[in-house]
Amino acid sequence: MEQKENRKKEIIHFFGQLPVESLYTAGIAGERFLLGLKEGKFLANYCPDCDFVFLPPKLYCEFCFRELKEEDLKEIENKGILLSYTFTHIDTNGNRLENPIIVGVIKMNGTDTGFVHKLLNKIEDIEIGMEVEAVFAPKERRRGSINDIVGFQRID
Amino acid sequence: MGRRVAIVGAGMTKFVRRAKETGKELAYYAAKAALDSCGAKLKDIDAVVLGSAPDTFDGVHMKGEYLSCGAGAFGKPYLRCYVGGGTGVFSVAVGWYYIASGIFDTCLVVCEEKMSSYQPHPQGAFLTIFDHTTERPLGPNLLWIFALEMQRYMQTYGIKKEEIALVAVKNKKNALDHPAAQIAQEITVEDVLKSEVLCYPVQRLDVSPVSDGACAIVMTNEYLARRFTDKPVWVSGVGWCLDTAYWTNRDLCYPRYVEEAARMAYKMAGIRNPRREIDVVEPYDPFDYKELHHLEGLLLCDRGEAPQLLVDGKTQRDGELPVCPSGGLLGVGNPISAAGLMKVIEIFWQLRGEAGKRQIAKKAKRGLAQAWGDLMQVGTVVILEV
Repeated sequence: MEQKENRKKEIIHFFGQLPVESLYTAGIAGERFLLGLKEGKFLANYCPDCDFVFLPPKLYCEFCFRELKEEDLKEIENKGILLSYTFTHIDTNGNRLENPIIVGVIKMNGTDTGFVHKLLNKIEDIEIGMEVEAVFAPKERRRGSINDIVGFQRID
Repeated sequence: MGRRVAIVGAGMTKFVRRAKETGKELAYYAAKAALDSCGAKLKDIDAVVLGSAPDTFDGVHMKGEYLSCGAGAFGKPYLRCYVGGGTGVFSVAVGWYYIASGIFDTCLVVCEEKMSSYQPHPQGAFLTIFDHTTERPLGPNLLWIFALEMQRYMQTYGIKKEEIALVAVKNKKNALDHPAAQIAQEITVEDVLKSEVLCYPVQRLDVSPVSDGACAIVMTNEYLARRFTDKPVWVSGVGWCLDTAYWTNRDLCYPRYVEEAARMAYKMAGIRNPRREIDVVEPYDPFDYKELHHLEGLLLCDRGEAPQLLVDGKTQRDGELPVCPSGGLLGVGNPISAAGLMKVIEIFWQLRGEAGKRQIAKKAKRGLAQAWGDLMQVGTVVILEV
């Protein structure tokens, strides 16, 4: 309705665009992380000054500004706890989705950060506090992307 | 005028065409280098100011929020400021009033730009700055503004393109001595005049490049400055000013907004005769003619006379008034906001005698950095002294 109001013929109007296409780099730390995923590994890093483990790993500790180097990386186990979740029933344009997308925030064991990703279980099987693990795409399909993880599933 | 404000540390990344680092990581490297340069830790910093130009460059909306952790802002009062190309120098004015007002004792100022993210070319990010009713239907190009200004400047004062090209020759050569420089090179006036015409009379070598990079400084007050360094550099004047928002309605051959900003800064610094009292200057030079334009706006020479200073060699590093000893945007590079802060940092290093091979011949006590931006109508000025 509002849109139609905007297009009244007696008001001179025209369409324009703010064209934006970006090419992002993963960054120094981001690349370390994604190359780990490609190998089916979770690489986190540890700031000894703050006793804090970052997943994904960072180039620096944002609390104390210590530089976190390649040697500060450590592999963590593929296991975590679901902190929260939601079912998304609409897409970004507001259209109804046939199958809701389920996303959750997971605290991987041995880390101090939240990790957001899709959940693969049925809605009725999901509960906060459940133990989950990542399901990786088959090795030949991994390309160093956050989507090398298909999603997380409940461990029973 | 509140507390005296000092710059006590500075750091920067290399300026490059495409950085592997994310914007956050670039901001971190610069901020950490600035802190390390004066033995400061993040916990010594009370507040953080971030300068960064349009979100569209990095391709991240709310870039201030995005860059905050790399700028060291966790758990601190934090503000992003933005006046287009004028941001780098303006961010120092913001840091100045944080400290001068007494609200904060220490402040970290970080400027970052990652222009390479924008595809296919960051120039596209500027298309929507033009008026959607009267200009965008004409299919504008950012270079229009500069070409039209340059043409008007040359026509009004009878300036030759050969004279303007000398700015590019000087600055790119100066940049050969800058370890962070992106496009330092030895070129001739002929090279400039033979380079590709982009938007007549602007040619390829008249223009600064697209860059990624970051810069940072540490600011504090007169009571704490010597805890961080034996050689504080004082911010004695800041100024900023807007001209009309309609670029066609400005005087295309004279940057009045720069003059107003400079007058504000000169007054604050108690400078009556800038030509005698300013020892070294870093005017904003995204295009070669702009260095000349801005020298005139800064009242460092009469209108139309800047090219003569250049031809006479007075603006070389060993001249009477060294101009862009760093190599400027034309030589070091132009990651928008970081480029402006790079200019302030160059004056900081020059006044401390730490500019290495770039050190100017004369003993400098007072220097000025200036930037320009928004829809090309903002002037920002900072005056430093020892």
